[in-house]
Amino acid sequence: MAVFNLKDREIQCKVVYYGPGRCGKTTNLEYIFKAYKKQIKGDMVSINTEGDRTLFFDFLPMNLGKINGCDVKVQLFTVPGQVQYKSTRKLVLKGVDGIVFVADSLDVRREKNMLALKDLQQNLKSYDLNIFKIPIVIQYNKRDLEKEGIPLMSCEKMEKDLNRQLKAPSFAASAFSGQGVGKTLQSCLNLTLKHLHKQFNWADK
Amino acid sequence: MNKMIKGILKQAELYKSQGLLKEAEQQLKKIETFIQTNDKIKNKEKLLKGIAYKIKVLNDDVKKFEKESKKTETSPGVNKIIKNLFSTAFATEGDEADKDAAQLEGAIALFKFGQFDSALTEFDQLLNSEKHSVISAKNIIKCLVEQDKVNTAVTRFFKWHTESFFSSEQLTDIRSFTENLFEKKKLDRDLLLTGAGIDNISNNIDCSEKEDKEYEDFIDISSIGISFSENAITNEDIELDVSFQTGNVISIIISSKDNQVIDKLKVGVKLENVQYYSPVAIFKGSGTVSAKTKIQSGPKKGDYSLDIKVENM
Repeated sequence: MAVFNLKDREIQCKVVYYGPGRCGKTTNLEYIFKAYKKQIKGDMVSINTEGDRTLFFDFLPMNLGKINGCDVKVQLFTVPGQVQYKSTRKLVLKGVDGIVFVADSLDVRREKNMLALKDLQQNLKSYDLNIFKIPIVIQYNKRDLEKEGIPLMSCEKMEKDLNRQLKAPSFAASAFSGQGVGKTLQSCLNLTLKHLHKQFNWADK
Repeated sequence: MNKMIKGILKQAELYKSQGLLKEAEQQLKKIETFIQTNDKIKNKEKLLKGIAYKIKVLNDDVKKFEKESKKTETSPGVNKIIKNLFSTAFATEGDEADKDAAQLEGAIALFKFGQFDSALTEFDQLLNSEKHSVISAKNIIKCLVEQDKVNTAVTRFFKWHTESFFSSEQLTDIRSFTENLFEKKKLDRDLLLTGAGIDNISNNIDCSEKEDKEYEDFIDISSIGISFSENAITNEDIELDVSFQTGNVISIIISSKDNQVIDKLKVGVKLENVQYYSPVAIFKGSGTVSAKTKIQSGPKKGDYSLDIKVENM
């Protein structure tokens, strides 16, 4: 749920990185934290991680600067991907304005991707949000592993699996190297801010 | 053949490095089966031993992760971050922020992240908030049940009852919520009907059928008269209304102004001459003071809640 401060002409919105466990959500945020230092307005906070698994969530605050005269702030969150943390995912998703769905390109994770997308749809529905209407982009992560000879799904196959109906903007990426991370975020922010503008006309006020 | 085995091993190693432990195990088992069923492979036993060791290490990692995942206590600093990030009221601070509403949202977030002790502290503070006291009480019950402290949850409920902390409508609401929660968690709902928990909850949690029957059969007492036959404080007897009754234990409230009576009625004191007034008759008997609690909050703050066990009536 975006927060508007009309007096100070400030808008704050929430973008959540969603996806199956170990797909690279935290790695996305870590790359953003390193690569977009100018826009980062605080530390990246990782709440309760076991090894490098997220048990609660990661949080990264960004400041996009002035857009149409409004100071735009973004809160980036990740959810824990493991199936058993459903209630935590739901809580983190509360008040979401835009979603980056990070899909794992590894062949062995095909089913987990589809289950995670279904889980997202259900959790959004519980907040009366429609997955077809909310700003969402899809990222096909771990593309760099193709070079290592690890079996990956093709982006076309993943499009069929995950994006046939959604028809969301999608990006091949490697959060590890940073390839495609910026494009994914930029696309999601564009969609989110346009959506909020349609809803609230914030840029004209 | 070697190339194929090496390829699958590489996949297993990569999955392991990515934290995909089950997928790594599947790859190793694939190689294990392949080696077992293929007689052309040299050093078969040595290879199988090596793979079995790798599978064991993976299984140990899975167990370790599952064990560690259950430890979810976070630091006060982290709890503060959780409260701030998951409370929309905080985000609008400076406008018309309702601090209590923000605290409530933060406490609920702490609860949902499994930080029950911290959440309890917040909900306890919110009990004094007129607007949020009932929802806080419900969440206190929920926290205690989640922590497997069912006895404490029942005690808290009856404490609110005896202290008249909530109105009867509010109490009915909290009771109904608690009953539903107990039903959902497959806990004994009768705990709330019999009032187990008011005296010595740890002993009462497994009330026998006999005790339950005794509770059901015990006559309703609306007020009592106590005569201090020996060491009389005053020349007159005192009469007090019963605020709550569970079986043969009655609760009365004594005003903080009645210092002498409060001092006299210590826990364990035997009252030899008590008149028990019921809607049908007056009974004479004795009783023992079984609990004495100073009311900490609510309209009767400072007064004392006293439990008296009815005897020889």
